[in-house]
Amino acid sequence: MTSLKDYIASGKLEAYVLGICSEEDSREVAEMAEAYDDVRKAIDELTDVLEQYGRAHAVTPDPTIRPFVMATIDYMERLADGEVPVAPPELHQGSRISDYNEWIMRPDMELPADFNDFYAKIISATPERTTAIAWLRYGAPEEVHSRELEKLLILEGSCNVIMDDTVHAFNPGNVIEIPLHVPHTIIVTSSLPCKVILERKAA
Amino acid sequence: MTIISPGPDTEKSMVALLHKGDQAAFCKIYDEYAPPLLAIIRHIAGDDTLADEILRNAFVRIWAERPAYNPAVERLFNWMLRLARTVAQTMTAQAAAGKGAERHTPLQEPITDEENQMLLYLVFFRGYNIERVATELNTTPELAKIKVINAMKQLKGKWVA
Repeated sequence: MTSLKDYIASGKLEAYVLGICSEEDSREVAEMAEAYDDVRKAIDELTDVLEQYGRAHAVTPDPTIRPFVMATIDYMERLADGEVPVAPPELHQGSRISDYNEWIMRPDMELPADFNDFYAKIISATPERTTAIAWLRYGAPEEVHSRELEKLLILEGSCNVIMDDTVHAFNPGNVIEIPLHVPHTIIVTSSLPCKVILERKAA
Repeated sequence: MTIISPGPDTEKSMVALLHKGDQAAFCKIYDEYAPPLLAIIRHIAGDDTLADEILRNAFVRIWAERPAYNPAVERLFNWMLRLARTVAQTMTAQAAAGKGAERHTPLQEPITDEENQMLLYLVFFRGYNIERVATELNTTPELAKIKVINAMKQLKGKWVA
């Protein structure tokens, strides 16, 4: 079947795998791959090349990203299941733990038994502001926010926040505001996980 | 160097669980594919903090668009990579527009000095589209595309032979 061989050698598959072909070609390649094993096999071989390239340079992501992704997915699924989004109050220096009772009391916003080092449940998320309940076992590695203002309200446990070589200690009821562009590290000082209201607001 | 990637059976079972909407399976998929994807995203973003945000958004989109993945067409990695690159390009452009300046650092030395490697570097790691590669090479998009495809073919010969 020479025409199939020609198709495989045409360069369209390489362009598809590299993401540089037109929408039209992309649809055509997908149809061909579904119809012909040899085309599919050729695409797999090219994918292997890219994957090996990527794995040779692999970077371990920051450990807080995965829980954040999973919390977002959980929230999306809750909304898809009919949960009505409610905007919680904005965090400020005068905020009290009881301002968030509605969410703290929710039975589906508890720490799961298989909790690792970081877990979060999103209360509400809009492009402007995300509010979540978060649990930290040990803390959070150094971060710098350049586009999001981060605030925390301690609900349970305690933690130290290191900013600019100064250690600030926080206990239940305390509000922490992290300024933009300042590297900060959170270290949990209680034996129980530190439970917080976490707010990130577009700066 | 040994490069471990999941066998076809592992991938098949992960994909089945993904299509069912299994969040635990999605965690495994993240653990498996986030490191190679982040390597590529970092090159496109040119900023590690932005790369982290891109990775976050890319995986949320991978989840949201999972019904569109067709295992008969391509491996999961390739589909995820194409989606992640789209997110990376959009967010990098937005960040650059927000700063009012070109965010990319000037063209650095590619991995090797061979032109082929450089072409793949531009497309694969820097997320350049064909028009931009053409500008870089001072040639037409048609010629640039042929060159990139040839580079990919040569690389394939080297890695998979």
